[in-house]
Amino acid sequence: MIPPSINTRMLIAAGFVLAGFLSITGITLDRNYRVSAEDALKERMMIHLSVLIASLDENEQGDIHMIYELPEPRFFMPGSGLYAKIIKNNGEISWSSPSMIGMEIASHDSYSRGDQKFEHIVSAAGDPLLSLSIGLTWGEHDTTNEGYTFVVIEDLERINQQIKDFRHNLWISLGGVTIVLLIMLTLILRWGLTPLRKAAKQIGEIEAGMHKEVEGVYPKELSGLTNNINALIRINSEHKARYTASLGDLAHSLKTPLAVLRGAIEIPDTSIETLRKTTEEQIERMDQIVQYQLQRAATSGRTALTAPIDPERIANKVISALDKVYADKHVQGNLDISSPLELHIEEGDLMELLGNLVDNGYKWCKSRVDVTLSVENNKQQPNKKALLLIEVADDGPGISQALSEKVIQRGWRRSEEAITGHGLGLSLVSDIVSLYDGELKIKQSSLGGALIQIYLPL
Amino acid sequence: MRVLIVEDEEALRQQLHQRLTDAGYAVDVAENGEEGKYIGKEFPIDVAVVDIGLPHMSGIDMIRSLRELGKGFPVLILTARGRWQDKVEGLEAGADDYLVKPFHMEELEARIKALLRRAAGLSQPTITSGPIALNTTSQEVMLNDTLLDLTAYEFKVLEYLMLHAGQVISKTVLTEHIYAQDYDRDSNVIEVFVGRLRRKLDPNNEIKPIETLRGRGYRFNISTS
Repeated sequence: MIPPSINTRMLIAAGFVLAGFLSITGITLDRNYRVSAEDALKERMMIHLSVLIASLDENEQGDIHMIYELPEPRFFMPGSGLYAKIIKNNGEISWSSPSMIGMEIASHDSYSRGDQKFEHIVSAAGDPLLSLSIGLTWGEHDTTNEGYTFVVIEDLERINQQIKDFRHNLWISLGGVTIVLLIMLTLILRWGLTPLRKAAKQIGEIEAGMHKEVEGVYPKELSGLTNNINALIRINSEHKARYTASLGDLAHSLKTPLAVLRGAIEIPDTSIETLRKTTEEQIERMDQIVQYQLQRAATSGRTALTAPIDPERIANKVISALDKVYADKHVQGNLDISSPLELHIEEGDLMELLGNLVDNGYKWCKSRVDVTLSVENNKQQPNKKALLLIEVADDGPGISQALSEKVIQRGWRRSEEAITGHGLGLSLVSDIVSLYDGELKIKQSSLGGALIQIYLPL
Repeated sequence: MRVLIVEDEEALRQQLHQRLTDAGYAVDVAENGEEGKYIGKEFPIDVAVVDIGLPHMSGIDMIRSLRELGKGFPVLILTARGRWQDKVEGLEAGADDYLVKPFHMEELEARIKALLRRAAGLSQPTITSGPIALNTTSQEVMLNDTLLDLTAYEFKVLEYLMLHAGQVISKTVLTEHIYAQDYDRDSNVIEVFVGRLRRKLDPNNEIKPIETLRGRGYRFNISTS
């Protein structure tokens, strides 16, 4: 299954967060609105009740009569939704507002003096109502029988409608906000992910052969990736070029010894001795060619994304391997490392480099080979990276100035005597050093023999 | 001296077999790592020549497992790839020397001799003991600067005894190190060789170079008195 795209993931996540956040907001607002609307209603009903009480008085016969006109016109409009009635405690209705004409409301309990209560009731027609009742007595009358219960009733239809409208508007606007936020988020994501899309497009175009590398400037989160992709591409094509060149060189350079061999067998009456000698020579030559080209092609060169390696470990491995090989010679191989080092180099390359150098040292020395690894600051360009200096010194015959140049050329042999190895060592070392933009120097060592210095950028 | 050759390429294996047999070694051959490991484990091998690029069990694994079994005989690895990484890996696994293919047979023989000498704790091709000097390279034995005329088998017996001077070597061990596995082992032959060697090395019965320990074997020992 293809995992969802970053865009989809972000939108899904943001959608959930937004939905959750906006739902909680909506529910809270809705609840608060309802509570405050009801509170306001109750407050208004208290005022209506107070006004009603203030507008009435009891005459000598004990009847209620209006001494002031009620200021609220809704009491006089039938069906206005605001109603009032005064009930004697014996159940008789003393007064009811004109708005109550045609209304049937269930009778209320009698309240003793000072009792006050809000009640949700339902009219005979089924409308939800809120009633506020208060028990009162006039003057000195303190018996319950002669008290009155004043009731103000408000139809909840209106407030329910208000709440409904509010809720409707609330959810519409919250929905609108959600949509706007999601659209904005999509746009932000699109803008934010543009470099990624661009990089992906570039890589696609590289695959299609339209570009050689990832072009353009990328934000710092991506530049590491794009730079490494470019480095990989570059190194890959360098390797390819080197393989192709090696293969071409190999094929071409094998043709000559093959031609010599063919020539030798085609000459009539060639003695078996001559044939054997020619074959031997040409095999030797082909072997050298194959070995040189193979090793050259196998050299990795700079690679992207390589973890740094510890040259000390490699040097120790090489020295202990050579101690074994040259056990009879009793060579004193010393390794001196100034400080802990880390080097970005392919392990096989460093081993090849040190192996060839130290092997030469062991081969040519009288009894001592010194390997030194140290860090050298770049003198010509002090702002540039420091260099790793590898020095291999021996107490052998040394290499003269005139021969130094020749030494690093392909296939040059220091001696025609049957000595092991093929004199390819230094030329291979020179190849590796140049692949890593390093420098190779051949000097006279203080031990009396050759001193090979290799500078590699750290 | 008994050599184990582990090489998967048949032509090269046969060449090595032929060449080393001609050079006077008892030769065992194996064409893969498993077989090589078995022979190395079961037979008294003095030196092994191992191609590291073997099918199934690699030469390096074979050497490592033989070393784990406590087999200490020297091992020369043959590698087609001249990369140092391969050489170092082989030497770390327990090999003692390496040779990159293609190689000269002379070179191989010289390396084998050097390894055998080294295993015996000698650094010179010539083993000298009193008036006797045995050159492992030229396969010549000098007695007081006079060249002795020894047969190949006499030389082999003397070489083995001198490389293990001071140690008691049983007739069985001598036979095993001088003949390959498929050879008919007749310990009387060894007695004949030793008798002839005694006459050639010590015609006047003065130095008594080869001591017989009844029921145990022989010991090369020049009495300095």
